[in-house]
Amino acid sequence: MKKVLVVEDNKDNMRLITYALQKDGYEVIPAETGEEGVELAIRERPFFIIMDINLPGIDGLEATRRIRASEADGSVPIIAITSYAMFGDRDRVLQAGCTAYFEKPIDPLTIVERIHKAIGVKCE
Amino acid sequence: MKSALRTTTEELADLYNNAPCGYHSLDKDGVFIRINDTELRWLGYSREEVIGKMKFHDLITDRSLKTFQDNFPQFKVRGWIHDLEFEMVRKDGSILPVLLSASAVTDPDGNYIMSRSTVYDITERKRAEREVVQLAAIVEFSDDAIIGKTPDGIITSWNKGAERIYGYTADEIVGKPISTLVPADHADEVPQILDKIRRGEHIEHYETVRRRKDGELIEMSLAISPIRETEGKITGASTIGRDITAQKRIESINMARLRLLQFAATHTLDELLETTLNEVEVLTGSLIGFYHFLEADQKTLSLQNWSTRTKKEYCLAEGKGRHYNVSEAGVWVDCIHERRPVIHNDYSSLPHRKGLPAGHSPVVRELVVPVFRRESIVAILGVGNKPRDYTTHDVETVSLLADLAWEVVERKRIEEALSLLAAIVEFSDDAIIGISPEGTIVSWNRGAERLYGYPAEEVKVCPVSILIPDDHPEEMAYILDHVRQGKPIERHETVRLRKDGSRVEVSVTISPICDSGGKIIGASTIARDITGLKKAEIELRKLNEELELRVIERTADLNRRSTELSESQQALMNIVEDLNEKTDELEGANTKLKEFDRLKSMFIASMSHELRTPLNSIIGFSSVILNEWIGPVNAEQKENLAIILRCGKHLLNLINDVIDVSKIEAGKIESVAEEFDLYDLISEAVGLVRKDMEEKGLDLQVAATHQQMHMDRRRLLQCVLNLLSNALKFTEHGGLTVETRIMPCPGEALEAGVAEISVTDTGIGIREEDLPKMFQPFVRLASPLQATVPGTGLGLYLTRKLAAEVLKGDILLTSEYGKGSRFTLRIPVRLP
Repeated sequence: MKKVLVVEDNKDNMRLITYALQKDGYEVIPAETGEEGVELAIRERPFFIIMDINLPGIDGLEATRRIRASEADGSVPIIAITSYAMFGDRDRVLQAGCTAYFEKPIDPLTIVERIHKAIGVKCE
Repeated sequence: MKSALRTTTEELADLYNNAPCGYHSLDKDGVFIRINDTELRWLGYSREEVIGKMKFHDLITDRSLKTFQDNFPQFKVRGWIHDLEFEMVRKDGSILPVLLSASAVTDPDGNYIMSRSTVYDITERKRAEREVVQLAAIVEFSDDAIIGKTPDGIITSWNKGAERIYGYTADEIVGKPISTLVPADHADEVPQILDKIRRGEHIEHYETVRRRKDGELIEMSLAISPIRETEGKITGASTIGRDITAQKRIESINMARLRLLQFAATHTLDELLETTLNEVEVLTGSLIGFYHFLEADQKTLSLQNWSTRTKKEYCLAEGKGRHYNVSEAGVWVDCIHERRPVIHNDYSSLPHRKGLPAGHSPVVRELVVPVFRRESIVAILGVGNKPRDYTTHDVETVSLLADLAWEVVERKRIEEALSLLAAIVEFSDDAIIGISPEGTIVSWNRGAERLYGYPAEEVKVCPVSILIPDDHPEEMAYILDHVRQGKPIERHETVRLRKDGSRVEVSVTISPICDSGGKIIGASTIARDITGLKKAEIELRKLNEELELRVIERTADLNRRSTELSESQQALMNIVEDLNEKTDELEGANTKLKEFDRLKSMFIASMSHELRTPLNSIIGFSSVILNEWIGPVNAEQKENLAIILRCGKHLLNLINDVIDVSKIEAGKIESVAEEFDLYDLISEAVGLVRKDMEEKGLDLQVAATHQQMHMDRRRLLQCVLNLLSNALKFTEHGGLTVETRIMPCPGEALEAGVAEISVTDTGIGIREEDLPKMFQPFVRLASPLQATVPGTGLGLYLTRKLAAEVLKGDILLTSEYGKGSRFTLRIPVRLP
């Protein structure tokens, strides 16, 4: 099973994303803080990462920057998910190194398909 | 006979010695052989000292010795010399100027043996000559115009000062009548003046106007005196004239300044500007006057006012409030490009002249000066169409008054802004308190009275700590630390103590206030009661928790949930309404107070975050269950879940609308242009409402054209969808028609043409008197459908905002009550 790292401090959201990913056959590695996310990203080498931006401690942007700094090739797709739907967030998110950007609320029925589309994975 | 002869000899000797002139005779070597008493007295020598002992050239200066040597050979040949000037030297060393005539005496063989000389003392004459030269120089080089004239007024003399002041040379004017210098409207002065002169009267400090050769009028102060010959007969007159134009100009400018300052105290800005322009017109003899403000970007001019005459006679075009781009304006903004006053005395020949606005009379001459503050130009004042050329004097006059006008305008503006600010602060719903760096309360608005229960007079000079509950002891130090370091505190959520001892949850924003030198002089603290918001948040969270519980328990009691959700929607509506009120209030302050605007944005950002998070769960988990990922769900449960899902999505749309509106209002939404086919977009939009149409049994006609667009696709889709949803909501019978039309539009900006997308319905229609209200926020018209049709009241408002701000187009609305409406979106095919 392919591993997906989900960095999300809100338990409800974590649960919802987990439903969606498991439906598509992924194994979910949960992380509740940015620091934990960075550590797990390096150790577990997930297929892709779903990153909440608003996190306790270091935020999702900083976590993304650290993950990018640790990589040799910068290849792991990082999907930012945030409710900060205000102007300028998209730029900040993409500048930090995220691959794509989705606004909350996410639709569990379509989220995985959208992620696949964004990172260029064909549906199996 | 002898005695008679003796008497004659004595008389001659007496005559010789006491003549009013000097006589002396010299031998051939120049030694004195005879000299009379008069000459001896002049020179201070005795006869014994001179006769046979001194030579003539011992008694003259070196200069005169040269004269002597130059003339002596000729004298010997010719035998006489006449009126030669010598400087003799007295015994005491002083000089005696004399005029000397001499005759030579020769022997029968013609040899020169002696000379006889007559000497006149010309001391007095020399002094008079020197005085005349001095006087002439004084007259000639005087700064004043000094003119001689006959009793009939014919000019006889004309000094350099007169040349300079009047512009005529002496050659041009001498022999002409004095009236040449007098302007037509002062012509009757000349005979009056000449009358007085002929009567021997003096005229002093006579202030009048004269005309220069170049036509310029000058203010003169004249002193005119008769000139008498020694017998007392009046032979002419002297006029001493001083140019007091500059002095008069400064006096009139000062008078004008004084008048304007008095005027400013009791009149509006507009009246003041107009009056300033009127004064400047009079002072410079102009026929046009205008005043513009230049914005801080140094690129945009706003026309603030015209002079009264300009408005009446010159410029029939609407002017006030119009904005000009400096780069597109005519030569009258040259002074901005060149950053100095600019005179165009030959307007019609300027190569870069542009057309004047319609209704504008021709400009012949123009003078425009910039007003500087610090390094920037803040305004320009222009005058035009003076009958003669503008000079540097006019520049000075205009600059002084333009500067004054700006000063007064600035003061007025600040006063007005201050009173506006004071009113905003006073009537704000938020509690706004001013504190000193030590934490003492210095100001206290009505919002603070309401929130904390203390009247202003009770708390002024009290420490702000009276509002801080005992269980927050560290907060005072935290606040003061921030204030003293100049750091703001933003949306700090905390608790405050009311006068009655009760507690209130507030969100506090504290901003340090600096004086112009950057020194911190205090802080403003703005507190908002967030009890209501907190309650709503808690309610939503509780709902969320309950939902999760139910999901786990799989209880079927979903109807009640739906009701609760509706309540929460109502709560949200209330919050939105409250937010709308706040938005209106903030909108008024928006232009003056960026700070308030920022607070609003932060408030909305935070709201959206807080509301979307639970929504995420409501919508997400509902769909997970509805899709039976967790297990089978029966038909009734599915129906109820679908209601939750629909309500949740409606809430989400509402929040999105609010965020979009706030973004647009903050100017923070930008057009993102992409290439697409209009036909595809219309198909997509129609596809999204087709199901709802069919459910309502409505007919749908689509006539879309293929047209390549360069447009913000997402926002256009949003607008079209909003129009479709809106039409759908208010149509029960008949159907909707969607049409597109492309119109070529020749012109610079819209070369590619304009696309029209119209949505026509056969719904309830709109009363004519309601048409203007349609695009206002939170307006929901009274109608039979009001109770049943859901809506946020933001849809059309947002759609038009998007159409105007993002799509750079507009929306047109026509409607017939009871028959239907037609909304037409007109947008450029290509965004610039």
